Amino acid sequence: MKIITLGNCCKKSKQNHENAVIAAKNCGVEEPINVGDMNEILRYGVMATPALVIDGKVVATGRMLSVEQIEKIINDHIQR
Amino acid sequence: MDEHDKFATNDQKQNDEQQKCFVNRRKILFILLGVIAAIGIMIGIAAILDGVNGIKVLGNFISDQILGMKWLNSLLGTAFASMFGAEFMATRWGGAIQFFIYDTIKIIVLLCILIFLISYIQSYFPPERTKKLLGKYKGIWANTMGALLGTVTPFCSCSSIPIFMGFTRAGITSGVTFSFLISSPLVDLGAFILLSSVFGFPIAITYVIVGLVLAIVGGTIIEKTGVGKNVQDFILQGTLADVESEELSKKDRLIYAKDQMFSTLKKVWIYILVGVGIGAAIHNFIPADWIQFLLGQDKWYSVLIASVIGVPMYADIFGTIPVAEALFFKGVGIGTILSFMMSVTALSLPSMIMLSKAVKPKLLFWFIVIVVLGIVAIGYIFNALNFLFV
Repeated sequence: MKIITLGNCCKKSKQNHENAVIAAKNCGVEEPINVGDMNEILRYGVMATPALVIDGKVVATGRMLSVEQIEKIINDHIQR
Repeated sequence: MDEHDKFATNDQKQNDEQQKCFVNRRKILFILLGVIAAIGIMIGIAAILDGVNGIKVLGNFISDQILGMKWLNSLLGTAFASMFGAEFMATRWGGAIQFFIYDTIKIIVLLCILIFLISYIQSYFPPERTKKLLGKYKGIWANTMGALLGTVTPFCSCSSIPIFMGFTRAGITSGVTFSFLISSPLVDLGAFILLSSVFGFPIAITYVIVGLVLAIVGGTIIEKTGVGKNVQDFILQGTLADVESEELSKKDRLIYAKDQMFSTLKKVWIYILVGVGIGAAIHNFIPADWIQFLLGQDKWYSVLIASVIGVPMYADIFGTIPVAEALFFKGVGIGTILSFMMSVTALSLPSMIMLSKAVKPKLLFWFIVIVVLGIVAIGYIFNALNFLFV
């Protein structure tokens, strides 16, 4: 599973990435990658960071997710 | 056969989801109708009891006691008088302390409730959806929608560039984008409620309408004169994917609203304290004559001074209101106050710096000129119509 966190311009985005790293570890999946480049972010159609992308699908935009929220998203994704 | 079954269940699932969405929408509609009906019944009862006067009394009660928390002011006054003695409270320091504590509590309580409610509403309008909605309109309607959506789309100076890029690449015209960018910091539900609590409903409604008109007209001018084409090249190069806006659960929205509330409070509390401090100083220490001399209604230059002071200042609307409140009670004209508030919130150094990365100097220059001229014009018009409000 490939997890990408978008945005690193503000505190919220950084926190979001940290939360994703912890959540990924807890779920035993690959460590998330952080992307901060505006052009890359817009390629996903995202205009508000922080955002979370799993396997190329945007699952959350414009809001910071807690560790539990990300874990839930990852688990939902695994089951599918 | 297996394949076929799979498709069938998929279809059903989709149907279920659609139905759920429909039921949800219905529920929201019912709640909305309920609220409107409740407001209608309240106004109706007031009207039956006392005619037009009844409606006025009801409006004043809501803006003074519920939103303005005047009761808190009297309570604080009594409490301080018994603690420090009535003589001290009659001095300037006593008055200043009372104003400071009352205003700080009032604004922070209102801010927490408002940001929570607003963020909940905003979670329905992420920029990705706003972009899609805007693409459906043309001409002046697109500008109007841009200005209106600017009031409900979550926005910070950090997100102005991605929004700018996203809108432009999606083929939304520069005028509509600028309508959005002007109205975003200027007008929102929070400003409306806070203004009603300080100045009453007529002025608050006027502020919102005037702000929207400025956004619509400003955006239209930028587009029609062609200066809107002067964006940096990188804005246009590159692609933009269409993203399905995610359907959030109620819990997600509540978490989002709570996060927004705390992070906003953390960000603006210092502006509120400074704003209230300046307000308290104006309220109790600066002689009314000085303020009248600089900003008095009979002075033709009052609007210009207010706008020029306001432009480089950076504060959000919550920090500006206590200052405006104090000026209002010193008899400064309503147009002058509107100009001051609009110039502080609409134009600020940090947002100009962000914007300068996305647009060429020519466009930035004209953007500033148009907004400043608009704000000054609003000031003069409202000072001329002052008698309607006071």
